Amino acid sequence: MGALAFNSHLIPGFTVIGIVLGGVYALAAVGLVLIYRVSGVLNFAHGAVAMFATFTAYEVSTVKGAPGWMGALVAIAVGAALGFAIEWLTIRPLHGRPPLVKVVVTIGWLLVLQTAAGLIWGATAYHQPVHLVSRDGFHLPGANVTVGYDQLTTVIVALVFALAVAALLRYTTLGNAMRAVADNPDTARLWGISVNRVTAASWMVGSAMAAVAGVLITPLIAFDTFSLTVVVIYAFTAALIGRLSSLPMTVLGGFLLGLAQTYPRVFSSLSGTADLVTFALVLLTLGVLFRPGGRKVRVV
Amino acid sequence: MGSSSVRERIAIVFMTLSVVATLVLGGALAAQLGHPKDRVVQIGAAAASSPDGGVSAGDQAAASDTSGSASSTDAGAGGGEAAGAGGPAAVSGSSGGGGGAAGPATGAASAPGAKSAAGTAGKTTATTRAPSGPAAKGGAAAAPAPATGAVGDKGADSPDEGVTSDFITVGGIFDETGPVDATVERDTVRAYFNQVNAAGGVKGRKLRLLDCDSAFDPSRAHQCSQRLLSQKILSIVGWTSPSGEEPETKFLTGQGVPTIGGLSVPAQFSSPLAYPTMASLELHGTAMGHHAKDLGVQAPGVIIVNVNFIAPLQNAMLKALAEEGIKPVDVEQVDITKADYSDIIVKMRAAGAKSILAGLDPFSYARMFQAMERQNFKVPVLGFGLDKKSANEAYGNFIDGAESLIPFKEAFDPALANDPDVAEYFGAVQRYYPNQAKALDVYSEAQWVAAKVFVEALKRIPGQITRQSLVTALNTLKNFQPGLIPSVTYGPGNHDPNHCFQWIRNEKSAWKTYATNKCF
Repeated sequence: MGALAFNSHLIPGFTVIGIVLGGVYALAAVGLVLIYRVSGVLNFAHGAVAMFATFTAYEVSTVKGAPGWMGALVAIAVGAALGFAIEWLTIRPLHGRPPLVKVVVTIGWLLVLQTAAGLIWGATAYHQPVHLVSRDGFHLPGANVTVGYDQLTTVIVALVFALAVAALLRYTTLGNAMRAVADNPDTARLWGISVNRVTAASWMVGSAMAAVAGVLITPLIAFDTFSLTVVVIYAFTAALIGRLSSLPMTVLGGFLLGLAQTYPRVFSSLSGTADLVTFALVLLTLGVLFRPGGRKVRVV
Repeated sequence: MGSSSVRERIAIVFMTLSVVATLVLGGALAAQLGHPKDRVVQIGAAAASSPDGGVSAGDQAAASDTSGSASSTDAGAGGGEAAGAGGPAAVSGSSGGGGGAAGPATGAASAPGAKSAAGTAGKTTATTRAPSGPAAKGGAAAAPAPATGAVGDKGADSPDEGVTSDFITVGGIFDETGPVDATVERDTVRAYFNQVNAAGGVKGRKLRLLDCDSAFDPSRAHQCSQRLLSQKILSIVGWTSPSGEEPETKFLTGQGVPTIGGLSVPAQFSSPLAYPTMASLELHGTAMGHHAKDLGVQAPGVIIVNVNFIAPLQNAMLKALAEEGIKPVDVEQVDITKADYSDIIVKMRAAGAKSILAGLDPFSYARMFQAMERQNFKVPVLGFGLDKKSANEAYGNFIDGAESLIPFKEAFDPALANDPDVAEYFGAVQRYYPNQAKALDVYSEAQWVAAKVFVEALKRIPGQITRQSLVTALNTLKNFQPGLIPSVTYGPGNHDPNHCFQWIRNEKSAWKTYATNKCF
């Protein structure tokens, strides 16, 4: 099998591949963290929102023949609308209920959106994704690997999203309101902040980001009603590395996860090795981050 | 605050339910409108695609001429009084789609109980009546060929084994959701059943396939087995459950249920009640290894998907390669959900691979070819199951020149377009499931043959149709020619009917056969 045959020449190339893969996880995780930061809800429907919105882009662009950017815009609108609908219809009425109840509601949305997408577009893997960015790329001679422009875009957008959300939270009135709501909704209400509107805004922005992530990621993976949800499971891991609060750490967590999934292939040909190493690394990371008395990671 | 808050919450809950219901029902409606042919046979489609692995009834009989209205009754109560359009639990309207004459959808779809009956997995017992009610006219207009087998040949019912006076019910476990899409195999079996039903059925009965979604999950596959058993099936026909077939073949045959078709996993070659139609995966590995020599393959890198039945294929391939003096430079296992193959390709290049031998599912091949193209790693590729047109569209340019092997006729070969076997196969799927025609592949061919084998065996049963008499009839099949393969022969003991392959090559998006009957 060639298991445990180490080839150090592979490291540069695999580093690039791992970072690119990590960019996918990071991009999927940023919106997740934003929603959690403001509303305290771990949104298990995040991947399903991304998937459903991406299918609307598919409908507009691939099926109807509209330009890709138009499909992406529709996806963003649908993502934002879904985020608002989830918050307004099902999260807001549960104000004051335990977080677990809200998590269960998001799982319900996941199932509804997956089933609905399967019924509308077919639960098959035959759909052609919307290609916003060319799959052509450039060769990195030192790493002996080619990076696609679409992959590069994913990494850049993940970084930009993280910085943009950090800036939003830090420098804008809405961001200040979001942080106030995140810290203490009751106190924020006393300061005249409309907690409901701010929370709804966070769901809309986070879900719109999910839509962007979905449109950019689907050409890199299988485009069906299932695969994006799997990606978001890894995104949860990246978000956990960022303690579900720090956006820079979340992006870093995404890259770390991508590398953890890629490096094991250097010395092992077995398919389970990457998951084994990833799992061990994540446990180690979380143990360090959440150890009793550990230094608190700065929240952006 | 109290009462207004309560009212507000009631309103919110109501709105939520409304939105969800609208979304689901609207989606179902859109799916129906988008797949007009599918409605002929997809009673309980929502259950079929539901994540809970629901079992739905593919009511193939609805495609025939007689389906004026379909009423739900107990399985053993066939022949009861027709409920008609106003019946209490009418399950579906149906179109007169027999023989391709798509009549308008009519029947009792709006009758009380229609939704619950259609959506109740595990309780679907639709019974087709003689023409009556408003649908009868449309159905009669599409009256097709006479029945296969006279009514006098019917034999007694075996309701506990899926045989009533009106229906012969079989089961199938398919990956309908998840990383592998086996809906085309399900619909291929249904298409053949529809064709048979349109000609009157077998021994005066319509054929019906109950499907269950295993979602690439062995535990759900086992749930499917148990649910199908509880629904009284005669046998398993044409199933495609990559992670479920190996354990469930043992379980189902242990329960006395014959299995026909499938992916030819090892367990299907070690049970007298399993009737595979495709060459074993081990033989695929052997054929690939020896064919590599014919192709002049040197320094291959091997990529194999990690599923629970793949070891014999991998071992056989490596053994055959060794016999031919070919030494792989690298052997990589991959998960079926692996998103990016760049690391594999970069590793293959670093190892000095001059070709790729691959054993993957059609959707993983797409990601492999995409990574090869992205990394500009253009080397000869030999695989099996590469010939799936819908997936080929995602393979990119590097599919050109790829080699594959197939234990059936290559249905996408332009030279075989007028072959009667291929024409029948394509025609049936095109007629009943036009959206699936591009998704046909080697595995759907295996299930098409399985459906034909099943029907032929049914016709040979002299009296009562039971599992035992079905097995006896299957064991009498000698040199039966189902099309797509030269012949099938079964007998007592374990079965291994198919040992031959065709070599095919992709040339400018077309699959062309260049060698036939390469037997091992």
